[in-house]
Amino acid sequence: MPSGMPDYARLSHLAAPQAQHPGLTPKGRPVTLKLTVIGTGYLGATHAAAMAELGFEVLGLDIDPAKIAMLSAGRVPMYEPGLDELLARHVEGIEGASGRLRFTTSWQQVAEFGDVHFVCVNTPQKHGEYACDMSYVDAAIESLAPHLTRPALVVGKSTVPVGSAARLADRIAELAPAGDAAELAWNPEFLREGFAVEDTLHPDRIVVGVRSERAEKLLREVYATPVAEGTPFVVADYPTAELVKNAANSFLSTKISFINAMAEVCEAAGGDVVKLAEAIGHDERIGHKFLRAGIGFGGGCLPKDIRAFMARAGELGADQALTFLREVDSINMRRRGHMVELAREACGGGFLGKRIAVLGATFKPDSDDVRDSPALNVAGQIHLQGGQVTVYDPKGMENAARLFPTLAYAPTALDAVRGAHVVLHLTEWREFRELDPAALGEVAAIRRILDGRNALDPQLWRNAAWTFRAMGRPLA
Amino acid sequence: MRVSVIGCGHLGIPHAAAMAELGHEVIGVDVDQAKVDRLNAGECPIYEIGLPELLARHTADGRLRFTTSISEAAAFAEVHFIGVGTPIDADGRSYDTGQVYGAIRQLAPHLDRPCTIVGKSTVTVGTTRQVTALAQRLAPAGERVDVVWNPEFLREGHAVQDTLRPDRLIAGLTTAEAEKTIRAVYAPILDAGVPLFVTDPQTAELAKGAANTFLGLKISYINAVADMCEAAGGDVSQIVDILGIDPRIGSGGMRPGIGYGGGCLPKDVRAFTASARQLGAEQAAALLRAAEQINEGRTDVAMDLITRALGDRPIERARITVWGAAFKPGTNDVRESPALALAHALQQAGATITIHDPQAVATAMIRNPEFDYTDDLPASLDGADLVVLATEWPEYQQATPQALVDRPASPLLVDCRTTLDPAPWRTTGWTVHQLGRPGK
Repeated sequence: MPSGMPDYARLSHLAAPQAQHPGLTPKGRPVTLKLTVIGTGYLGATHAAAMAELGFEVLGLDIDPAKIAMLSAGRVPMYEPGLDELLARHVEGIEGASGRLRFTTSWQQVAEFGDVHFVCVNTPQKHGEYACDMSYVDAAIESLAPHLTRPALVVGKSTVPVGSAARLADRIAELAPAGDAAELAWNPEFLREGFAVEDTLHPDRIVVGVRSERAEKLLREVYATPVAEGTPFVVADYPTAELVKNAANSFLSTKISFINAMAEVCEAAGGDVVKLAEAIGHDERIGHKFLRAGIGFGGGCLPKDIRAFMARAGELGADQALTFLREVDSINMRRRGHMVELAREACGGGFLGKRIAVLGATFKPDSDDVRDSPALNVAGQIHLQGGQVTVYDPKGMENAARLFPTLAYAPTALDAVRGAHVVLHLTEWREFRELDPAALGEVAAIRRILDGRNALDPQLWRNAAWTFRAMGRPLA
Repeated sequence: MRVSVIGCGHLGIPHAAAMAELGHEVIGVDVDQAKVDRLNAGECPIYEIGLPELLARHTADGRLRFTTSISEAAAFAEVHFIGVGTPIDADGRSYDTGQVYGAIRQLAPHLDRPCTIVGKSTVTVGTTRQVTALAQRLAPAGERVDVVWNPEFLREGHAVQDTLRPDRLIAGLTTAEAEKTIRAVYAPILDAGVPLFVTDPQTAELAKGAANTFLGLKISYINAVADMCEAAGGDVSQIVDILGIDPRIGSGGMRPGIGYGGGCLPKDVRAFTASARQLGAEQAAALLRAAEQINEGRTDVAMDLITRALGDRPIERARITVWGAAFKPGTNDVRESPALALAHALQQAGATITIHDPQAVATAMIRNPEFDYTDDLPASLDGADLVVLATEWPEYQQATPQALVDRPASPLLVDCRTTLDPAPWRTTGWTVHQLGRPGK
């Protein structure tokens, strides 16, 4: 099985293609609800495919015709393990597919087709501000609602500032010809990139913020399969459902910045943050997960989510939450600078004329996403300071090259390391843990590696005569 | 093995009793003759579930005795546990390790054969190295005296259980012999599958502070979320339940309310913050300081809620009953208790205060004699304009709202720990406000 991927054995329906059409609920009742998914980015494409896998007829909408053409041909615009298989199994017109999944650019078609409309558009950080940009969500509601002539439930999945759902519900009531029969629910997604398919089909929990029993009933029907498998289904009000996503992401960010703060202390006191994390992670109130010190978090979600949460806290006058998360953010951003400093030290004080191999470009393994990637950020900084940087990543090269075209890219880890004065391990792909330090040592100019993720085995590298240094363990 | 435990307080007594339970011959040392006499009579001076039984059993079977003589302990034992207190310094921000060094100064001159000193107290990073140098300089056995740092992780109220069956053991040490001794002294616990992390002394010293700091951070984090719920509508207890499902988060230790207290967490977070700053880890210090500030602001948040609950009734003429004095349920410890801090703030605002606690009335009365106390739950409500739940004892969750509703002047309850199910209270005529659940 490839590196760190979800356990496909669990995706039991993938093992044997389904014959039934339309699908059946776990109790054998035919699925009658028709679903639409608005926005076919990483979240929407996965959600649409997963809903088809659960047996629903699904119509996906995007305003980008190129994206729609690609998806209609069963091709995935991003790397997400298992997603292309899922699309191939369901997209109409593909040989052997169930045909339950189609795509369109027409709002009217979507409104006529769907009983339940999932809004899965992006809420990026506003340029030059902490707050998140709600324009895509607002535009989706403004475009869809005037077409809602029959009873429908609009379900927001995007991460939004608390208070948005109440505002959007009012807009739908104003705009929808169906009046009260068009409703809104909030159902935050919790999927992890790299595990999106598994997390959508078998979520840890489903949270729905609703104002009516009808909305709850519809969502129970949509999620009947995971609920029958034992996934908790939590019914809440709008603000709780909105906040829970912000809360989860800001906790995870806090946990990462906490252990990175401990790494700073260990650096100063001569401790070992890896041992420390092992020891404290045994407390069930702490837990091992997300307790790995390194160059910090990145990606399209955590950094923007905590900033949006801060912005909203400021608007609401909950200023203490704000200071706290600002420190979480600033510890995180500083990790990247710290890695650059360690690399500079390793290069003898300057990058000029030095060749630096960077292993990893994506913000985390099992993804091709390079948005706000700490690895690329470090690579970029070193490059700007005169280092000759060569990057290798198993899946993220194309996206990285688009964002940082001036960096050099190598087709393999070995090629990246060839002639390097120092090797930086910046994204913890399994492939890098399985590298042969001896073979790499043959081609490196100097056998010196810095582990920015505390994921490599120091002994293995030292046995092959490498100088090994990891973050937060100066003596280990 | 023969072991001594130096310092007989919240840490030392449970540790000594647990060591006897593991089959060791144990001698406990304390400077307080009266305390030693009580302990030798099998009496337990602190409230801890299961501890009185353990003490009685092993003072009776002869495996456990107490003394004021450190030379007796030195002659008797091959392993010496240091369990003395490390209160916060006069500067309020770092550990006063005076008692640790004091114990070493008294013990070491009697150490004339190879032995192991095992520090259990929470200390500043770097202490082990200095203690080792001091002990080896003063001991006739010199370098044959080993020093290990083995921080305790027990929770008050669960001290016996946590000592006999900890989540994990950490030993910071530098020699193979020391590791052998640690493995031997904890053999029954290790055989039961508890992991032992052997590391360097600095990491072991930091681990205790780091663990408590994380727990403090987790509480402050959920309190920040509770504030967001207060401001935006939303239900913090539901958020805790939902977050708890995520294995990366876990609801353990995530208690929204009026903040953390007690003899350990606040002190450990402060000391860790100070230590991070001294070491030059400014960013780390800033994050921990932000967590502290949230905790320090909790009393104000509770005061706001209480003021709002009182409506147009002025707080300066209100009779307020505070449920809970202990810093958390299951203990009689009132050190840095958020409940007492809230009671104090209410009194400063002019309210008349009556405090109820199932276990901590006696200890609270010593520290804060200015309040009225009772251990009679229904009577605590007599004449009250408002009752505030400040420590989440099960007694309050199990109380019968119907039976209590006629006792206060007005049946108005502010639940600052958000642990009650408000439904049965409301149906019997109570008005209930819960911190972090404004719409509920």
